[in-house]
Amino acid sequence: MTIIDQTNRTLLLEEINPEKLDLLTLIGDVKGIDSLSDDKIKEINQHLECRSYEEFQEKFAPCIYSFFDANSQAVKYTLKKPENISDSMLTEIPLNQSNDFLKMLFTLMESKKSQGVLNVDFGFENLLDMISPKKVMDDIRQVRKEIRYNYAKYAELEDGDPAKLDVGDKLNTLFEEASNNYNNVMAMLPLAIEDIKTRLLLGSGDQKGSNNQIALGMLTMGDKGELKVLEAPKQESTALATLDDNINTGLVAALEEDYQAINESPSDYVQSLVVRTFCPLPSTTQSKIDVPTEVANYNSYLQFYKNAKDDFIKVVKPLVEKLLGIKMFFDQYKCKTKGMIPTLVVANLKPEMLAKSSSLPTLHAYLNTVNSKNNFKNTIWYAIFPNLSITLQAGAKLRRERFAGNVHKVNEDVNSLETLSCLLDVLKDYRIETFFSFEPREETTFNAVAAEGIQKFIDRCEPLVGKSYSEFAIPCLPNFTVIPKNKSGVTLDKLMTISEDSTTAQLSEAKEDVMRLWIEGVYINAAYIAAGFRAASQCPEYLKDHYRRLKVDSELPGVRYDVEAGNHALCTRTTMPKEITGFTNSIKDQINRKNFGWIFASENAVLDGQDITQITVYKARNLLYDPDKSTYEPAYKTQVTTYIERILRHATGDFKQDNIVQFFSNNPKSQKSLWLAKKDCVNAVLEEGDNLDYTIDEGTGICDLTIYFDGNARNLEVLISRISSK
Amino acid sequence: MKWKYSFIHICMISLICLLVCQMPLKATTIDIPPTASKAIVFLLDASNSMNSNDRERLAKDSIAQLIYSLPSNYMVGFVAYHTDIVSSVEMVDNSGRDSIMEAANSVRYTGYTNAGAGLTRAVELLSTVDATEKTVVMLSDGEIIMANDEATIQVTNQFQTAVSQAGENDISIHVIGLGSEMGNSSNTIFSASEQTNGRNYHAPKAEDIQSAVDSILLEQLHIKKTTAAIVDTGGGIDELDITIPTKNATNARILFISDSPIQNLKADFNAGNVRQVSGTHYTLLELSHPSSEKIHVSFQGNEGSQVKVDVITEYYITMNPQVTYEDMEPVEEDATHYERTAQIDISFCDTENPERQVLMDSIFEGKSLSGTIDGQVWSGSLKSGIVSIIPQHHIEKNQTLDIVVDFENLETNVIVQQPLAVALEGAPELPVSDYRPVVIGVGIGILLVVLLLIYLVVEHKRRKPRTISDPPLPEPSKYDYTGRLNIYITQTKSSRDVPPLTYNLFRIPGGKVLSLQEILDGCDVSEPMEGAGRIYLKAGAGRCLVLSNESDCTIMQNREILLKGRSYLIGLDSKVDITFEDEMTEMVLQYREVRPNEIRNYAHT
Repeated sequence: MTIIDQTNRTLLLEEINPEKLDLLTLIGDVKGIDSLSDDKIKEINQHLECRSYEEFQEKFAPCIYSFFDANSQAVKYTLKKPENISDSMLTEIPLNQSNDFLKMLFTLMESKKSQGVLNVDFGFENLLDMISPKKVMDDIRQVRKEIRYNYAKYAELEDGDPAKLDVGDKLNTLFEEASNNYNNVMAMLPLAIEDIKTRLLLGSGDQKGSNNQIALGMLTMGDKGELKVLEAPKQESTALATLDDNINTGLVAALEEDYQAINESPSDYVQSLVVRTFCPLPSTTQSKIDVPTEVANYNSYLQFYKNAKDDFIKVVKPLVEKLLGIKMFFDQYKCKTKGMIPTLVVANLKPEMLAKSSSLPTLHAYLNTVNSKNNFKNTIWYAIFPNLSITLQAGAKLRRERFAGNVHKVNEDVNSLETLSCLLDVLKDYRIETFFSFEPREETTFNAVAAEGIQKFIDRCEPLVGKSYSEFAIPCLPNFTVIPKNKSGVTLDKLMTISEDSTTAQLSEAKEDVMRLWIEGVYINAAYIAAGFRAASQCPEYLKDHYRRLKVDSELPGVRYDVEAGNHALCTRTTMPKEITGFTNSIKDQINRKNFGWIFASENAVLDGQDITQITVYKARNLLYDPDKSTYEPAYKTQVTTYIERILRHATGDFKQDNIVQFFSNNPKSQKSLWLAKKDCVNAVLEEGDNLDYTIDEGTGICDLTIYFDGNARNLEVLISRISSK
Repeated sequence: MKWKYSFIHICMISLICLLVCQMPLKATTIDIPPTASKAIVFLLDASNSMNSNDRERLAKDSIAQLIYSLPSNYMVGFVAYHTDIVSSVEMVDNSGRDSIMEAANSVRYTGYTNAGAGLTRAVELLSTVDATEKTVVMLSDGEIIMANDEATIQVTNQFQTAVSQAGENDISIHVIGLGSEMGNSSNTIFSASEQTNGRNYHAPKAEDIQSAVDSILLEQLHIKKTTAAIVDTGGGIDELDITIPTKNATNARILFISDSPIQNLKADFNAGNVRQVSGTHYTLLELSHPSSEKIHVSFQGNEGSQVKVDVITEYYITMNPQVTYEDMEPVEEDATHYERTAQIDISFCDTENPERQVLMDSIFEGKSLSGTIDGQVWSGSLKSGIVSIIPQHHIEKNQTLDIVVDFENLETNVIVQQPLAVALEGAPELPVSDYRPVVIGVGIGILLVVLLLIYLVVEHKRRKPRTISDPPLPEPSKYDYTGRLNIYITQTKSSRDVPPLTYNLFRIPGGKVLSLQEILDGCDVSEPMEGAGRIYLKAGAGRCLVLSNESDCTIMQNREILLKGRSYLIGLDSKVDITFEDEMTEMVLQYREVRPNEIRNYAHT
């Protein structure tokens, strides 16, 4: 019987959406109590526990708030809901799959994964322009095509036909999607930009050089057989040929009615913009174009859009990086048969809030409830602590800054080492291993580590070494790069110029008129991936998927799974695509000399004749330093110790002396014997060369348990219970 | 029954009389101040001619009448002469007057009349004493006659010389001329009075001497005496009630004078002391500090004779001045002192008993007194024994006033030290607009306020939790400490965040009892935690901690409040919540296990 069926529940020490409930709020007052009720735990799970990114997205609905500042004539963004602004003046922009920026990043990562090319070779620009108005319009075009098709069908079918109702359902969905933009001027901007562009630059799209106003005509053959384009009789100016006026008329009426019904303050301009956007082939509604006004509008729209997008990205980037990290945490668990799915409990609090003296007793009460019981369903095994600040050394002292250089802004969204040590001190009491990584910036990526080595990270972790909690601290590096800083430019569009006679417009060719914004690098904290990977490798099904030829026990968790051993790192890889060509030997020597940290590698490797295109785990160590060997201890040892202690407590009825003896006996049914019987499994608790031994000190009542990991002893002391019925 | 009462009455009186006779005849000794002292010499002509003029020897009774009527401040001398001086008694005070009577009784009338030697002798006697008033009372029945003319002239000249000397020494000579021979007022003897501001009295018969002496006492010596009674005796026992007009007198003399012997005198009185002097024709009762006004006497005189009873009272007093000042704002602008007026009130006390005020009897009430104050005449009246002197104006500086009070108007003899020196204090200076005291006062005030503020601030900073006498420490434990304490100060009075703290108990010797305050001090917690000093921890059995709460803090464990004065076991991995006495500061104490390998780690670090 499986006693512990999960060993990968992870606590995320990060704030996602301040408007949603958080761990401290849910726990409430813990004065005079040591633990929480089952109902409370259930409520916490209901609000904070996620088993997939989608569930996370649904529960935390990450969003950003925007409002317009009349003074600066600009749109402002904020992650925290402004308390002094009424809801009617605030626009909540959900950061979900339909958000162009997040969608672009997800697409980018997926395509990188599928292509398996390094950052240096990847065409970031191709994907980055996904947030340009043109790409937005492309998406809308797809929508409107469907609208038009479905509306035509809808119009054709007779009333009462059941098929008409089905089409009606589809149309409702499409209109709902389209109507999301009605109220949002920011969402309408790319539409307006593309609309003006379409109307003003009609005919110039593919045929460069002519700025003359066109006169629509018909291709005919002349009397002598020559081809002629004859100007068609001018029924309506700048009107396209009418295909099906009835359908258009009905669709226009439907869109206008929908806009009027939904919008609180309808505007004729926006209404016609909506109509033009989603019903682009009107034959009778086209009006004469005021070219100079339209050009001015276009330019201001584009400028405004660029600024707003720029601001939006700057503000949303830290949150998006968290979302990417969470997505990557879940993404690590790729297996066909779902078994021990990694679970993430999101504290939804800034770590510094949690590390306050007033909050720690609350955290204690929660962890005491989930981790100090013989029911291991809710036990937290891991924690993720991202964004640890890293003090950067100032560059060479300049007497004068001749050129604009990097401004080393102090990142305000980072967590301090003191906060980490406070939390580690608590988490270690509940034997929770904490994956922490450094703030995501260029200096903590593969590129930087490959160039500079890991000494600065070792130095930074020095205060955490030699402490009682060192065993539970796992420094993860380097951070992953989604968009490198030097390839983060996005070209939105070009400004428009007007001809001298003010009748035609064309896109400017001037370099300064190219509207371009810089995303300035998007990174993912390594801790998410490390925790995700470790959580995934706990699942027997996951291991089975990766070790088809080796024996994997269906019940045992992968607590003893040493990713460093043998080819394990190649067999079980992260889902992250390789970023660089690899570390130099000297860097790897530096890493191996002390076996520091949980280090990912972007190495060129081959497994079973296949190139490895993903990033692998190179080192999996915590900060427990063994001075005898001058090396840091592997992380798995801690978890095995924890696992055995918990199993022992459970199996021996809280360390009853008689049961301990039974536990370690050579009886084939004893727990030790059962483990040893499975030592050839990949996920064996005791592998070949491992052993368990114990001595009981009758005087002190302490059972000294020694776990030998391939000959290396690890001690575990438990206080035995002498309460016996005998 | 009547005879029984009479018998008892007689017995009592006899007893009193007996007591009177048994009392030592000792006069009250009073120290007379020189300024109140007076001197008188009785000069008796004892020539042969007196035998005819004074057959009954009444002159001796007159001497007795005179000297016993004089108040105690009189020094008395006696000279008797005929051919030469036959008797001379030095000046004696009140207690020695009996010797004068003895000398007078021994005198025989014989020889010539050598008045020159007698007067000279009298003047000599007076010159031996220091007195403010000196008087010679001369009783003679004729001119100076010696054995021959030459001697007569010589004596006459001597007499004149003596008169001159008396005049020079302010000695008054009063002459009682006895017999018809002295009818001529221009004789040599009488001329003595004229030259010395004296007075002549002519007594044609010896019986008239008494009235002449009375006149001298009253008119010349201003002796206050009242005649209580004149009794014509019938030979039997006469009873008499005599009233002393004033109470609280120092002395009261009751003088019985008769032309015949007075016998069987009995008196019933109350007094501090008494003296009785009896002669042939006189009896004196001198009562010292009589305490009752009524004196009952009985005596027996010869039939047909007359007994005169005189009462002479005297006060020996001390004057007590009482000065009250009244200060007025002066009218003059340039004045530097107040306008001061002094009101002097004088009260009178018995010299022997200064606490006893006298002259408060009703007979003195409203009596006018006069006198001089620094030579200026004043007058006033007695009210309740106090006389107010006219207010003294313009007392500018300290001065002493000499006050003389004339008691002439009172019906008693007053012996008092005169003049009375009264010191007056000068008028105080007018206040000058001097702001220095104000400035100094304000400065001191500010300094005090600043010091007070500093004291309050220091006290506030130094203020510590209420000092309640600490309860006795719990008994030391026999167990060892094992774990550690995680300390989370969740709320403070100052709202400051205190980072999480850890206190390693396993390093503490097992027997030691720790107070929570010691632990906090060990963790360098500066926040005041009221009551932490009375929460004790010690090692318990089974790796537990024993928490004893002697404070008023609210301590909770597992939703149970840990009561004051009780001890509780804190198990491993459990916690207590403490709300301190200030009801603001809160703390969570978590007792955690430290495994041996962790201890090794600690040791290593």
